[in-house]
Amino acid sequence: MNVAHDIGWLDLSLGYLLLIVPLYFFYKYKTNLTKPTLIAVARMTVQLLFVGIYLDVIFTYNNPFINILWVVIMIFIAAFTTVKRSGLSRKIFLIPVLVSLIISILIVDFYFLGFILGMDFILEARYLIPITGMLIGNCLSNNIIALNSFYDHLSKEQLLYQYSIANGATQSEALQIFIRQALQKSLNPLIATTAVVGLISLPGMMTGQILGGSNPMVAIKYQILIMITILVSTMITVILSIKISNKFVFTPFDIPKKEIRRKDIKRITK
Amino acid sequence: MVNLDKISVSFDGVKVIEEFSMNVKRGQKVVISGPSGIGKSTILNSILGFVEIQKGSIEIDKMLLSASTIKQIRAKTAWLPQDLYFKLDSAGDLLFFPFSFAQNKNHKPTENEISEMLENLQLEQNILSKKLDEISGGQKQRVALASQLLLKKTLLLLDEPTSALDDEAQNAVIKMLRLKPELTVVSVSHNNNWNKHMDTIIELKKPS
Repeated sequence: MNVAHDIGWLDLSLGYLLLIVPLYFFYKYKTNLTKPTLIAVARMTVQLLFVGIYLDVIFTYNNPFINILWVVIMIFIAAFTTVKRSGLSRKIFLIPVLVSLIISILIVDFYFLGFILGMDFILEARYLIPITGMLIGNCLSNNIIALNSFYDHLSKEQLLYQYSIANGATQSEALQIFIRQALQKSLNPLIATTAVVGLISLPGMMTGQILGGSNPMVAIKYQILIMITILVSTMITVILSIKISNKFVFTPFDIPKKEIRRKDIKRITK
Repeated sequence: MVNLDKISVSFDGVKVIEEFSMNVKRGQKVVISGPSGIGKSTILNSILGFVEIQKGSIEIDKMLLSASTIKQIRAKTAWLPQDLYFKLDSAGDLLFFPFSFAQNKNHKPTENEISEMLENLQLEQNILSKKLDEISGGQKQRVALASQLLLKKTLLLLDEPTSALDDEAQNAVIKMLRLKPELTVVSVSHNNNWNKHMDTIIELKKPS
């Protein structure tokens, strides 16, 4: 099998020279983006180097306990980030989001690795870590959009919710419209990406596999499955996050509690 | 039918309602009147369990309002809020919206019932096909009221039902309510024409 051509450290540093282009225009048009760009690139470099070191260790040992621990850490960070970025109360939302992610990843990982790929050892680091990472990354970003949409609409359109429950709706019926909006907002971009994949963009995973020496058809088959599993895991995570968190955000009279949003967050409304 | 016994409501430590009592018999049409901001809507909201009462008790149809009875109580109510800024498409959507809920599906009105209701409320027969943003506030209010009346609930709670209605339309609504002797109405209004047609006026005054 051909492997990807390695990049020397000196060659890698030459890559950074390309940043002169954006930095020049940021500076010229006084965008105030020069410093954030430098910080972002520095952070990206350090984070990825660390990940490279971790993954090297994880792949070398390929120990199921270390692999599981890595996945658990990723899920924890994803849950924290989801709650933090959506400005929701950590006390109320952390557990529901965490549980949703765990269930979603467990189901999809088992199906993908154990059932479709038929792997005897589904905790194999080379498969488990990157695939779970991709699923979690997508669940995270789409779940933030979904939770934001759901609780924003519920707050702004509380009258519609009250109108519904005062005129015969169960709580579940009254919330249906907000769940619909959240699903549309969070999954529409994913569906759009799925529809144009291969036409106007070549996905990272597939490109990575081809660079790594895989046969393009093998890479495409993996890409198809990863697109489907991203859609499924995102849907499971979003639905469960909303449904489970709903158990904690309403008063016994089915009215949303005031402390849904974190007080320290200044929300930007469009 | 509706019994409020010395209820008190505060928001962030500020007393809005203090020891308010009211007893409404079945079929009675009552209006709570008073200046703006005195807490009239808060009384309706407390009957529906939307705001928490700090003191006193609320009893609807012999059921003490609590977390365990709120669903049964709401099953008896129809509520017309003051504002109807819903993201619904047409007047028809507004009328049929409550009938999409399982509890009301069996009461879905027939075409004749709808037609008669629209006529009684002085609304054109083709209004249901119009977009909500194409009809006036008064028409919207009457379409929502038509929906509430077609639900055939026992307790109708109306928050400023005449805020967008002219006298003629108000009289049509009042006449319609009078055709339903079994229906208990608790309304909130500071409209004199409406108030004089109600059985009882409860005047809310600012605490001295």
